Amino acid sequence: MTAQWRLIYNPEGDVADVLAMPSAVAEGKIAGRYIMAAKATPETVIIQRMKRKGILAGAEVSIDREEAEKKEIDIAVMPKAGRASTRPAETISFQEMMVKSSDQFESVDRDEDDLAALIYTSGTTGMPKGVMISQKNFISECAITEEPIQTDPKDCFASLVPFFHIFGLADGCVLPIFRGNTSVLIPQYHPRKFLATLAEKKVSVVLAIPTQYLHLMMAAKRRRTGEIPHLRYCISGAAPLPIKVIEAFKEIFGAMIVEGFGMTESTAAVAVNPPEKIKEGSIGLPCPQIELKIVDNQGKEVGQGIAGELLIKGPVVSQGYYNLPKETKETFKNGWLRSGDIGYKDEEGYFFITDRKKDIIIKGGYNISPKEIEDLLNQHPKVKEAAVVGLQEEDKKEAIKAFCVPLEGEPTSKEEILEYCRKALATYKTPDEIEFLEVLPKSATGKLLRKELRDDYKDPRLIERDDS
Amino acid sequence: MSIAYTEKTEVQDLGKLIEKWASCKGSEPALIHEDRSMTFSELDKSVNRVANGLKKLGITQGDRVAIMLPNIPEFVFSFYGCQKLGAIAVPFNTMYKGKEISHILKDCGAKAVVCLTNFVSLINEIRSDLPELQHIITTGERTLTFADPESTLFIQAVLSKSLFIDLDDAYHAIGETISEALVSAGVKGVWYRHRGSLRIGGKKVAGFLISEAEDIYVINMICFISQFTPTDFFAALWVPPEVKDKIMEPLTSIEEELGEKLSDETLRNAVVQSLQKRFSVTLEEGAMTREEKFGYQKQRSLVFKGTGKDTPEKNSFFKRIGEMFKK
Repeated sequence: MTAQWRLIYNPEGDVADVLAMPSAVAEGKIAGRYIMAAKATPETVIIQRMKRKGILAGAEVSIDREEAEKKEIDIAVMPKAGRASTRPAETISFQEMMVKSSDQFESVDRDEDDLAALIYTSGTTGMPKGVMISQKNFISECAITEEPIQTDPKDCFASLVPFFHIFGLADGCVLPIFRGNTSVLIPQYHPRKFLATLAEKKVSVVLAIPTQYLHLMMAAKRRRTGEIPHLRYCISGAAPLPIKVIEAFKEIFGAMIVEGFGMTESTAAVAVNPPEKIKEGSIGLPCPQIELKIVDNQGKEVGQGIAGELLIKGPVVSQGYYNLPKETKETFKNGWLRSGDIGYKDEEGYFFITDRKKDIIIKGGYNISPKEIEDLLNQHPKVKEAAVVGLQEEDKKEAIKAFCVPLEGEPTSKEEILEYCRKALATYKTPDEIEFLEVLPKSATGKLLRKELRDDYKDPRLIERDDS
Repeated sequence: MSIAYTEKTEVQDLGKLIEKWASCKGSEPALIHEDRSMTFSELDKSVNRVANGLKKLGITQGDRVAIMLPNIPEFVFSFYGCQKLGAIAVPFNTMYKGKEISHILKDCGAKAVVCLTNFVSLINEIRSDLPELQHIITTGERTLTFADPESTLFIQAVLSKSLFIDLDDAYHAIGETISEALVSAGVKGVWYRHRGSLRIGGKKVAGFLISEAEDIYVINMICFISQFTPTDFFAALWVPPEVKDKIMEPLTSIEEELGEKLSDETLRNAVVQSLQKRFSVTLEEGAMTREEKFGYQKQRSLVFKGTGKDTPEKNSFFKRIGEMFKK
């Protein structure tokens, strides 16, 4: 006789049923074993469709209920996990692991060159590379930022930058503990809630990326929340911040934004644009113990105002890429880190970055800076933001393609944008192609991901069948 | 302003940093998360627990431990736990998917990964590529399931473990069965890879996770029958526009692949027939029993009656840990 299973069909359910139905059946099936129920729960299959939209969220997801109500979305929050609840099969519970372990541990002694972390960073091409960050690198990053980022022991930090990013990890997770300061942890960033947290927890130092500072300003304007009394110091990184934003921010919040420049390979900041004398568009002056120089293609240092590649030296520079000796040799030479950035130094020792070396478009023998074209497009009254990349054409010549995000409610045309470029740019620099996008692809820290705009870009999130 | 951070020069490695503060300012706050604060001394103890826990799992000096977590206390405990143990922390982007995760875990040869419970299915799916990965340590209750009348169908099951050889067998059987069901309903090119995803080409058409309690498996599958548009859902979660397309895996749906909608009836029958064939059983439509209905109502009231605005704060991690230690 074939066994019989039960099918529960629920064609007009809601999101709470997605949790409640299998839970009730599972509960009954487990209980049935203990009380020797006359009839054991059969093997059960449940098929459900919904009649309304809904979100089933874990106990720690924060949800904007006002917004959900407006969009007519049901919200069901899962009860927190208890002893009897199910958990993903063959995994270990972090909480249980902690409870079952002693709270005494003797730290292993480590050498300064021992690795503390591998931080994976996406290059212009290929899969992410693991940057080796040593004990010394982290400790030195704390030391070199002591002068440019002055805090006192009473300061309370909050980082909006994720700790998986070097800026968040070195300056948000390690620095406050190095200095013995308090940190407020922000797992999920929501501008309005963050403003409330700032006031409530008396946060005085904030780490964030430029777009987040913009969001905070917009949220503050909407809510008319004025100054946050304890906030006095903000650190920005990962992308350049316009000076007018720094000024507007100071006006609204009464706090200074200090801009730092660094890379994963340099354990975050190596230069800071000093608040006493900010220079627009500059990455600022090197931090103590850090040497920066600009070199030509032969590796020779060039004079003031002359463009070349930016090189970095100091105790924060990584040993190299994990398991990649060839790439390490190309990027790290005699203690100098080749940043891959093109820039120059001015007469006061301030450094400026104009482009990423690998983004330079070579067309008809000319080196073309995508940033120059982007800056121009960004000034167009109907363009919110723009990105420019070089596309390899069939006959090996590169063509210039510009991606523009139009301002809301400001319809424009490709021809209008092209005409605008023709007026301002030399013919060889004028884009060959314009495409409109809703948003530009950006990384978690707001960095423009040019490679995703190139036509040979392959989405690495896809799992293809042939490699299984 | 010159503040004396003079002690810092004595400490040259990260593992000893917290210990130093625990001994000289142990009762001062180190971390604040939601409505709880944790002193340096408590932080030191939590870090020690994680270091000991990892050690018991066989993690030793020089081993890599991947950390795929947002900025929550467990990140800090794991990072410094690795430092005390002499292990190498590999924090990585919580928005990574598929190949990106498998590349990093494979490249660094991580022995363990600490992640949010909701990332388990992502890691499960690539686990066969990762011979060195021995442990998945999970925390946080941040799962998110979107239910949409237009585009989602849920296929769930509560089955005895004894029906399967092991967990891999269970994943395989369910994955293959539902793939076959979709193929028999006319959807071409559906394939099941490993632990949790049904794909067409490289995109996901259905995903599932198997949970366990005692001797049963609970299977939860979401299947996309029409194109899923997350815009409204994202509004309720405040997802910044820049990361919108990074939150979801690349998805497809039955309607997009087939060029037409399939009726609920057709889909249901295909699933039922495929299950009957695979498990040599008959599926009879039935209702919940009286006891089950009682349990069902209780569950519904628990999940739907979340009073106040932000239930999350009330379930803070620290509180849970505190409660567990009290027991």
